Amino acid sequence: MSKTLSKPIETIFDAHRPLSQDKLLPVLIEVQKISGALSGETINLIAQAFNLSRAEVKATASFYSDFTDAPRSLPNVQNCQAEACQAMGARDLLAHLKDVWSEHYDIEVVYCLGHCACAPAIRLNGCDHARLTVDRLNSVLKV
Amino acid sequence: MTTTIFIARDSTAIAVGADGIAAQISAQCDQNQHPVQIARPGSRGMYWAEPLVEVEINGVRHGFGPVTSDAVAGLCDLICPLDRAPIDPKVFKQHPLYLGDLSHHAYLAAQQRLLFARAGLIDALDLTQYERLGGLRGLRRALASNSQSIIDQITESGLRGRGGAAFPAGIKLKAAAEAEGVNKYIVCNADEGDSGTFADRLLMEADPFQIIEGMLIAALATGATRGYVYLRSEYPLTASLFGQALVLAREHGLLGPSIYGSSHSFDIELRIGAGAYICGEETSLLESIEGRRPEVRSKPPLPVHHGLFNSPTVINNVLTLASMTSIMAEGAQAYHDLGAGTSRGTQPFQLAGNIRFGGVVEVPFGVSLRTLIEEFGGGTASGRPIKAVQTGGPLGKYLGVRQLDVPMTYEDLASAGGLLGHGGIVVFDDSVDMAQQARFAMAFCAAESCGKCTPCRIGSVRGVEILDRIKTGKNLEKEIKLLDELCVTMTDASLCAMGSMTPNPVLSALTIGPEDFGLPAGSRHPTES
Repeated sequence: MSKTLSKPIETIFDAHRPLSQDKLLPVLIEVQKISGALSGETINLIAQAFNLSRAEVKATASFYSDFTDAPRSLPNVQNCQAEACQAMGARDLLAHLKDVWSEHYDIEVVYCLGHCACAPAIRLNGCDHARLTVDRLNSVLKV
Repeated sequence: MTTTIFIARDSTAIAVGADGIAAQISAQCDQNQHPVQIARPGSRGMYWAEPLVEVEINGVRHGFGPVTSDAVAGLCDLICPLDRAPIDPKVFKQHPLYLGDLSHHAYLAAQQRLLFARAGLIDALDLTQYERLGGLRGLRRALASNSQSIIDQITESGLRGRGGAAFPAGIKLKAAAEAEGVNKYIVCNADEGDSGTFADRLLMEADPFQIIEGMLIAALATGATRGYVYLRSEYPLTASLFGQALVLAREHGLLGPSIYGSSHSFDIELRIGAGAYICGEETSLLESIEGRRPEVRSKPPLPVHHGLFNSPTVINNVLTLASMTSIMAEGAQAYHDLGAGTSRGTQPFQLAGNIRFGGVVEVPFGVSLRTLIEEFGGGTASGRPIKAVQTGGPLGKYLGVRQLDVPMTYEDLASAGGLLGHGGIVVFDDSVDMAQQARFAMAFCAAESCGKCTPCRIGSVRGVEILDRIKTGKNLEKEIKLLDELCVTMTDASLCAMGSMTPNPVLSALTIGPEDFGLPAGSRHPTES
């Protein structure tokens, strides 16, 4: 663990002490936020702090789709593929994303961003765009 | 005089451009030297009209929407004219996006809003405005009465759980009140993962104090001293707004060691999920709060006896808890007078998918699905005929066009084979491929299964494989029979609704679109699913 990262992680631990197991998810979320991923080293550090086995921490972290074990190298596009978006052409949008934009963006399928009345929707680096068409998608991604 | 312009601060409104429109209007008003105040309440839930721009003149809010960035300059000539020239609402009519006085707009006037009565009207983070429009009356009554009479009111109102399971809310409160335990908990389930639903999110962004007030009423009924709101991570703006509402509630003595100077203590912690649909299942949600891998628990014991941290826990959906405020304020009878059969009160239906006028429609139970889709929703957005409607989220059945006259109550929908769930309605036009939807239902179950029980974990994977083989057209009869058998196993043997209800969309897709599976039209009788 690099010194530059272990210090901010200690700060997160301190904010949540005593580190009972119910603090695990909030800590995982905050650690992923500052380090971009939950690496094996990070998992070790968290397991030690919580007095849990690495397996217990990994079993919890790996369950959730928000956590990754390596930081993304490209900007992230979350493409909703749940039913309301499917009804408005989300599958065509995904095909277009894969065809045209996969070199520039990390394309991730998600299920429901909550914009079901204005489908289809994507989340680009945390910013949502709904009521999309292929043309609007292109203009959003070009910026 | 300063003109007030309202533009929603709401996740969906922002996703269709509300922030940009607000900035553009503000700049244009500066340029026109017209003093305006831009207010950012929650949305009214008329999502088809977002970004909706409302200008208040003599107490009347005139609406324009959906406003595009190209339309801003023309709109500003009317609502914030150059050099403070007088605004003339009579000329508004000529504007193509003009929607009239919104309080009389048919989409809203035909609704009967209890939960969403304040949505879009008040600043979500202004407790004074909340109180002025009826907020906190229910809590005051609850503080002046006792546990038993709160439970009686909720029981007599006929309120049932709005998360999907429709369990009578009063019975749950009673069981938790009677359960032995030093600590008791109120958990608000805001893990709104069903596609086609957004009412929880909208309410939390537009009227967060109502949820806090509802949780306080449940706490007074049961003797709970601590509450959790479990919100999905997909809703970051909701988390920020609701988090601010909690801080304000503490500052005003609404939460803390002495609720409004009483001997009752209660506080709420906001917990954020990390991307897992199954955490909306109540026991998985509890595991998630406790920091374990969120696999569902076997029931019994029920959460009201052994729930969070093994203590008595009331776990209810956002809308269930929020409904307790108007029941306590107006009395059980007023609530019970609305609705039909054993489905009492109002239900916010959420019109989504391929629909012209998508949004929240809160009306008493008993309205027909057709009225919701055709009269409120205006039919499909594409203008093509409807082929299927999925109600109640991804575990709900697909209904065909012949089933649209079903009254929207728990029991009527159940007897039509459907599910009311959380009130989501997703419309598909005739371009939908039902075999593709059936495959998706199995694939979604495989992706989101917690893995604890075999029928769900393995059954869903086998289901995808069978549907892929069906697509090849070989051994069709044999494969369909296998699919039917698999669905029986999943229904009967899964631990929770994820596995046991995934067959709903799969088999109903087969019933209403057999031709998409390579079968002759009408070959599947509705009773088969």
